[in-house]
Amino acid sequence: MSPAGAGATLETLPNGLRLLLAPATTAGTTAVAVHAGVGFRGEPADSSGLAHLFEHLMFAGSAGVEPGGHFAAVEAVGGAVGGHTRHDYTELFEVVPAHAVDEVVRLEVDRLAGPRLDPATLATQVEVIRAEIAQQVDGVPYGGFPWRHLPPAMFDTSPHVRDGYGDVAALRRVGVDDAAAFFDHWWAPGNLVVTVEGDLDHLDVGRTRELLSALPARAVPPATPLAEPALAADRHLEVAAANVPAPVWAAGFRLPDPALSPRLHGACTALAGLLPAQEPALRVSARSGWYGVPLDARDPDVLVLSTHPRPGVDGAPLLAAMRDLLAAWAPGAATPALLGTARTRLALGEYARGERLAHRARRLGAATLLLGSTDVLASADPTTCLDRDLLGEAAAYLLDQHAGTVLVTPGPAGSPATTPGGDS
Amino acid sequence: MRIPDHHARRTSAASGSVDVVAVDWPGAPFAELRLVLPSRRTDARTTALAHLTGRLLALHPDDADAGAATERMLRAGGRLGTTPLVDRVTVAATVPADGVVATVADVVDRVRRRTWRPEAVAGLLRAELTLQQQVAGYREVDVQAAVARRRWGAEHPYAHGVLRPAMLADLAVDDLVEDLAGPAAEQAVTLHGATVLVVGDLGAAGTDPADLAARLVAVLEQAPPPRPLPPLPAARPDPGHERLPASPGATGLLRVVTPAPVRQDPDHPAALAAGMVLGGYFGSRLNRELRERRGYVYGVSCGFEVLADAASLVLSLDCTDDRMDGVRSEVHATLDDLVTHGPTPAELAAATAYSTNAATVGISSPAALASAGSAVVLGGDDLGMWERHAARARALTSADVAAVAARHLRAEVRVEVVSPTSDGDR
Repeated sequence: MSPAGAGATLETLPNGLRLLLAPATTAGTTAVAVHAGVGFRGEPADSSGLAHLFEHLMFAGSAGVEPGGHFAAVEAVGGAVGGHTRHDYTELFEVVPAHAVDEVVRLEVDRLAGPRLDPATLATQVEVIRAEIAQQVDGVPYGGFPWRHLPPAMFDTSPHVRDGYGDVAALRRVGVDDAAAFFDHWWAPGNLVVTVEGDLDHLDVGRTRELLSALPARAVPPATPLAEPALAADRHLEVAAANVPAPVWAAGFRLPDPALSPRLHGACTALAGLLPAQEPALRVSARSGWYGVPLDARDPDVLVLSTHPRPGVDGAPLLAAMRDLLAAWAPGAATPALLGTARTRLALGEYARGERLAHRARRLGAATLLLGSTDVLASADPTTCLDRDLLGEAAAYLLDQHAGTVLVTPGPAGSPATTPGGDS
Repeated sequence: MRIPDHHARRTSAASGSVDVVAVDWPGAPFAELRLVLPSRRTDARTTALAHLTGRLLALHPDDADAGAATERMLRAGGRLGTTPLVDRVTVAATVPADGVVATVADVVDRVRRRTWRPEAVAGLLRAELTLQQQVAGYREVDVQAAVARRRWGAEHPYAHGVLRPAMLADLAVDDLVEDLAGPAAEQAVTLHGATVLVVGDLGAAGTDPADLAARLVAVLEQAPPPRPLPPLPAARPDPGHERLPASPGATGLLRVVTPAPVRQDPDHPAALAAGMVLGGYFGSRLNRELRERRGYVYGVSCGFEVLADAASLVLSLDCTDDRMDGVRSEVHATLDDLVTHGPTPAELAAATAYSTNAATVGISSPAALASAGSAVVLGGDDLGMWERHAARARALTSADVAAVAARHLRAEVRVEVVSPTSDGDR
């Protein structure tokens, strides 16, 4: 397969907005993705959840689009719409039949110039978020695991321990002026990447450039500082959650910074793809990145291993078992038999992820926003990082650090039976 | 909409009338193979047999466990998984294009032999029991069972969609190995009337749609004829409202289901449009009212559940108990209005534009086309269905939709199941 960014061209418009055009052979569809450089690690500490609220507000009308009009316009051509708020970015995207791409660009420009902000819309969208949390997280078995429970075991500072949804009560206090200030600060053109991917035969590139360039330039906010010292000892937490039918456990390790060590990052991602098959009886799941998508956050990002433990087994022996899995890949250990089929296994995994709506556009846009280039998608591609020595280096990197773990057990909601402990 | 170059064949009646479709998708890195096998569940035993047979079809007779099966496929450059459902077992494989024929031959052989190593059967049984015990507490399982019971009638095969741990707990491995190879399992999952659909870069593999289809037909016609499933009994719907016992959770669940016309029925396009206008997309009435105006729900979904011989229109939403009565009233009032007046011309135009164009997006990858296309072909149609439906949908009027809604969505035929999170006075 060709590298994800093959054939893509990136240009920075006079207002600082980056426009990425990525042609690809499709069945006649085009994806448009907008990435804004604000996620829930960047939002104000006293307004946690505001980045996600803004994702909703961006669909609730703008100067030339009625409330609900964005959905209606995209759906009128059979398109699909989505949005996510992640640690360090907010993304909005559409996939449409190729002939409709210019209309989608017009819709994007309209809302990037400024969403409609009024008290009624704010109030309604906060209620939708309340329903979203209830339906998509609290109402789903294991919903929110591990990204809601594990961060406090790995990090201490505020940006890292937010869950993205924030406090609904606090969101109800967000006023129109607060929202407007947030938009002006974070959604400046210089903090945006717009990606158009797929069948570009129908795209009026000149008009797209012209429309996006007309967005007024504003000061680009500095990135939120995220550095935090590594753990000085393993840290084990226990929490109760009402939506967990049986105990579930996760351990988090820090990934190497892909901007500095892309191939080491790729090898760690490769290990995440291989460890679950190493000892099937352990029923280990592994993910590179909080949501199982590599290169989806700025440094520090995480590799998570999880499993369903037997009752009574706590964090320390489980972490030891995970380290045993990693040790099988450490320098000097015999080459695991899994390596023989690793390239196919990982390639199939990436191929399956490609089925996500607008996957390639979203990966290209996020990489450009977070890492300044799409090149890292190729250099950190795990299928190209399967050299035995490099995998050994990756295992050593993970083994050489202290880890945070969390055991989530069934229990009443809001009864955090947190019992910090530690051993080195 | 561009359906890539494709070719369809059917094996002889003596060979089970298996539909074979091969689609050329230049540039596809893998070939997507779907082998969809009709399945029939008549009671707890055949439900377990159909489900376990479906799962075991991922394993070669020589595989000791699922891990060995995965490694076997990876060595061949691909992967293979299976999904047992109430009316079918879908075998989904992602393989190099030049490995399609061998993969189909391998799976067909497994379906005919239905023999696996006892340790493989024991391992799968343990894994399935653990899995089913884990999901048994999910409230959605009970909701699904209640909906199916009322939609089809308690004894109907389509009411046996939920596998309960008790159906597996007492199975002895030796007996199970024998049962899997016996006539009951043969009647639970069959090649008779199956569908094989392949989407891949056939040119790169030195073949083309017609050639590949012919080679697959030859594979399927080599062995003894499969037995057809017994006739499907008539459904005995039990319309009305059912409130399940309270089940702790963050939100209550509401499901409204009606019998619906299958794809070949002349009423299908209008019923599809009615479902779209009701709750089928963001621009639908209920999503605009309950999500965008009131903020009561995260979303409403409404669509067709198409089984081999019948279909249902299913509306689903989650909301908190305190809002459930209001939401239910709105849902039924909206349904009643559609039955009485139909959609406005603007609503119909928007819903039609969405549903017809969305098919283009929905089948815009080899895997998506393979999955959607194989379901369409199993249902007795072909890959031209989307274009035909689009043409018929564009000719619909509001009165057409109202008339069809009156036949299929009226209050007397609705099954409604509510799963609250706490006991109230209702």
